[in-house]
Amino acid sequence: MNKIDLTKITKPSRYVGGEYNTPKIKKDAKVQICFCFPDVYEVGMSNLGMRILYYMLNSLDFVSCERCFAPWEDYAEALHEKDAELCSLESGTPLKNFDMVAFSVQYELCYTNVLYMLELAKIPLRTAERKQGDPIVLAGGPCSVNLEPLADFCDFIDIGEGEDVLKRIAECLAVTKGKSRADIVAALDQLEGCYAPSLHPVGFFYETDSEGNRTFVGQSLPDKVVKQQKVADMNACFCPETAQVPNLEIIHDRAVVEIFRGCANGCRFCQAGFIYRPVRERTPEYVAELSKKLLDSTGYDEISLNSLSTSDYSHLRELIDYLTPYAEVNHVNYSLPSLRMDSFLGEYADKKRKSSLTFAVEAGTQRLRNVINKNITEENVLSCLTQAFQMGYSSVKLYFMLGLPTETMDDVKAIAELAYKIHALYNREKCSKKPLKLNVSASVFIPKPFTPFQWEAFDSRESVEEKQRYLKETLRKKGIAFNYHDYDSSVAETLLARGDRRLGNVLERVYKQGGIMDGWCEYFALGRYIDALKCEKIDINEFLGAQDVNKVLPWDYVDIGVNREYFLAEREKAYKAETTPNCYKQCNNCGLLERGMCSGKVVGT
Amino acid sequence: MIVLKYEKTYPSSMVSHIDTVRLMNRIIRRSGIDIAYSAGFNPHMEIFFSPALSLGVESVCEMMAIKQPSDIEAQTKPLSNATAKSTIEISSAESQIEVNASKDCAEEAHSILHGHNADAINTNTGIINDAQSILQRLNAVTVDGIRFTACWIKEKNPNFAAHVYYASYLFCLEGIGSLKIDDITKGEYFIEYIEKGTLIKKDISDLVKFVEVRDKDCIEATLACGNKNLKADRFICGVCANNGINAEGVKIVKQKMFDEQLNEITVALL
Repeated sequence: MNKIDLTKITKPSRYVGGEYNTPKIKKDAKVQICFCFPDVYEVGMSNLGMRILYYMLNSLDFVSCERCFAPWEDYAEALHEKDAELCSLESGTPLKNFDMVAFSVQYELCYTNVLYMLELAKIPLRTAERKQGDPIVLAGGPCSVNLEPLADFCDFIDIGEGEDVLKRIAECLAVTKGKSRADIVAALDQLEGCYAPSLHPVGFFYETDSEGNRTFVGQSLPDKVVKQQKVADMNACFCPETAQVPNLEIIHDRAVVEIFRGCANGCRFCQAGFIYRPVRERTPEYVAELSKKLLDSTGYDEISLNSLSTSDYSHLRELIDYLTPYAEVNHVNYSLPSLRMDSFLGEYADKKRKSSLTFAVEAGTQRLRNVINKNITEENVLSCLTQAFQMGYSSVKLYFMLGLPTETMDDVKAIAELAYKIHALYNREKCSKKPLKLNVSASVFIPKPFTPFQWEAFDSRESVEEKQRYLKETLRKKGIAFNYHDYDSSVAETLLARGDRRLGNVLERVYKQGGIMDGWCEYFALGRYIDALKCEKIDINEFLGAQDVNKVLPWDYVDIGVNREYFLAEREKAYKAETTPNCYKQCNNCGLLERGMCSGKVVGT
Repeated sequence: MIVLKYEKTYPSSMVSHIDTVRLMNRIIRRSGIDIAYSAGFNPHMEIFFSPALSLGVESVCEMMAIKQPSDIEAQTKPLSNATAKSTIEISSAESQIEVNASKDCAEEAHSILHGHNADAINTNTGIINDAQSILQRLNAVTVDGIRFTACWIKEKNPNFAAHVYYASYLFCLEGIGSLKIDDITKGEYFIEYIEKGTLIKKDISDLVKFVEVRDKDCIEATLACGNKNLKADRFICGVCANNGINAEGVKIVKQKMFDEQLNEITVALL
């Protein structure tokens, strides 16, 4: 335990542990793992993946799994002052004493926090610098489909859903305990879904002109195809029936149950929709049972029923019927986030208090919605809202993206026109004197790996800022609130999302210049990334600009089950504003069926 | 009304008051004790707390009152555990019994909740002492550092804010017994502290009732607590600074609460 005076630290219960339902930590277990989340406690404890894997690992009798979260700056300073090192929450064991530290990487801007935690733990940052006795450093999570920028810092990476693969990793660690680091890493590299970047180098190719200027022309891939792991049956895989109850308010301070994984809609910008294919549902009985067990054992008064697109759940009505009586008797709220606009379930709406409704419309015109394959019409939007306003709703949030492929100012103007139409609709349909609270939010489109738009250009600063200015001025006229995402952080996100192994040096420079907590606007500074790229002589436009479809992409060695050809075909359709129906309506031959990873059956029939 | 006395020690002493309110909501839910909810669009549990404890300060005398549904005196609903099937009936005649929970109660409660000893509920003598069963249930589902030590059933809301005026604290730190404390209660006494980035110099003499050295590593003080309040950590840091001593690492434990006449707050008083 390090001797930090917690009374001088912001939110000291971040560092104390002792949460209700913490499993018994077996300090004599053969394999000691520390699950590291590269963000603060409140963010990490809200993460469902961490909740699941933490309990899964502790359920194995030969494994002990503890947690560690990125400390806030004041705690890190206190560690430096005392020359102390970062320790686990449960037992206060220094991270460097574990057999493995496993980072769950949820979003690109937390990459520097991985370095931050390694350094605070006094673990050498680079795999090449680690010696016998240093823990094995693993990274996984949603970003694992392209973790090339972190490759130099990870002994190995696991790609995909963790329930099964992490168990195999723990078993491998048990079998190889006591062996050399090289042997352990080599054994882990053999596991399906895993790979050790140091054992699979990549080459970078340049052309030099007559003046000696070097231009990057491409790279080779690791000599291994890594198959992304997916759980086969959501009703049979490990799922905890309890959750730790934090003593501090966290972001998602409620019980969470997944009702299904995957998404059939095929929105062309959405990475999650593609990497979590195929759709795998849980039965409503199992969801209801899990929900009740979670609520009873935690004392939470709210439960969130999660999925990527809740209204697609084929047993939604049954599930509501199971849960509603229990919820009423026990004063529990259940929420259904991610409802799609074309099926506003008025009867499931919050009966007690009309809180805000949120809809992700994403694009202003039907043409652009067809380009991105968001199959929703303006009529859907307005008829859903008519129903909602008549029921008493007076607060609406709309999400859009700016910078989508083929977007013009006409599409942006249509966002304002739609907002105006909703405003007028409310005045006609409202059932109370309350004024409409309409909030329009626009993020910047980021082209992500494993989507049909993975080759698209990231929109320029001038273009995005012009669109943001237009919307701000136009919407303000009707008293409509407008929030927009910071362009700078979107640049960094694009850079890292489509990044390759050369960015390892860039990340280390950014971190050494004070780049931590980059997901927090008070800390992020694009300038650090720009400077680091300059020092490394890397042109940022290589990552921001349109990608050549004939070129190797850094993530091409990962197999998520969907073919590259499918993404190319979808891209062609996008440019013609042609839509693709969802998997419930027809199989579009994305590749999963031919690999036996999808039943091809319409779910629910 | 269920009135409870509880201890709040490390690690729960690191939980702020607002988070403690949330924590208590969840402990009560897990225990299965029936509680009244407020009316309106956003119902919340009817729980009342004694004055908020500063972050980092421990206590052995915190108090809390839980309102029960008014038409049922103190019925505890069945636990969700499948083996604990019967409803525990609470006798309304046992209204002012103070029961001190021991560690054994917590273990027994744990076995009751987890179904190993269901017979403890279904005894032939029928009814378990209501306050005792409440304590058992709460201690079976509590968190590290929170321990319920006494329970009373009362007719009315004890209204802590109206009764609590002072609290006594023990301050333990190596060498703290050498602090010059005589002048604190003998006229004006100023301490300095920073609030919202500004340095404040304040006379605390009317907020300190009593200060005494217990031994070389421990002093005791009775400070204003409640509507007029002197934070214990602010007090000791200020006094230590006046004496040129570093207060880092001081352990502060609140011992008792007192009314305006400096009578110790007991359930009879509330």
